[in-house]
Amino acid sequence: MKAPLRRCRGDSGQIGGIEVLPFGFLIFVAGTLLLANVWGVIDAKLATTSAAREGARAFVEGDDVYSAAAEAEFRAHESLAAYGRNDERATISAPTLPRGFTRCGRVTITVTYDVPALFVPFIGGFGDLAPVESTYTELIDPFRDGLPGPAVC
Amino acid sequence: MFPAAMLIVLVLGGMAIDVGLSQVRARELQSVAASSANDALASLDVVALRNTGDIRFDQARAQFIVAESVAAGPLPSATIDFVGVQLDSLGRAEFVVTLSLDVDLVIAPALPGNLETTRITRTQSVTILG
Repeated sequence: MKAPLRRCRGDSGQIGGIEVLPFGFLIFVAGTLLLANVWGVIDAKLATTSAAREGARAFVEGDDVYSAAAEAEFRAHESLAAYGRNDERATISAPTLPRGFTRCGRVTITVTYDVPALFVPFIGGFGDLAPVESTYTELIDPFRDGLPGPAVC
Repeated sequence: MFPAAMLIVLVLGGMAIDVGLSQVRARELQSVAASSANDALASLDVVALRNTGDIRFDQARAQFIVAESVAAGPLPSATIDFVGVQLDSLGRAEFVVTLSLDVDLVIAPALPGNLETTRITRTQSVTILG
């Protein structure tokens, strides 16, 4: 049996401070999670903004207040689905109509999405980090047909 | 070495959080500008359009509608820089709305320098097809 090489014996050449490397690794993991969560919030914000806009756009073109509300909710859910967002985490508020469903009436729709605290690809998200909310407001078309009364914008 | 590393982490955090925040606000402001420009078309003088074909707007009414739209939207603190009609590159009239917003940064105030807010401006136009 050969004797071990001389340079492999003893502690000379041992890296000093190797025990601190786990802390560096933990900082790396924490930083990666932070960046991923920040991007998750931004991406959710883009999704809710689009959903609120599509919902409001659908509402102002509706025939009556009930079908318009149903259409708005459908469009908002459809928009969230297009972004690959989980429907169960989304809340679409009932449209507010301070002046009623008339020409020049202002409609406001709010879409809220609970962003998961930790998202694992192929498995899903865990916990709730923060609700992300977007609001969109629009006038019911003053030049449209099908609604009684004059436009009073 | 640690202070330098910490500063790098803060700068990277600032890039991730503050840039992301200002981008989100910018996109929201763009959306508000688009919505208010669309709404402001309600100030079109329909009678003049039907009788003479002229495109005229009630400027005061347009200002009011845009202000109302901004106040009801997600960024009520946005300021209205411009509301009016311009011609686009094809000579068509378009209604233009320009909004500005001061965004309070999160990480940047902790860094050297004096960057606490950043001002973003967004313009949106709606073409009037005669």
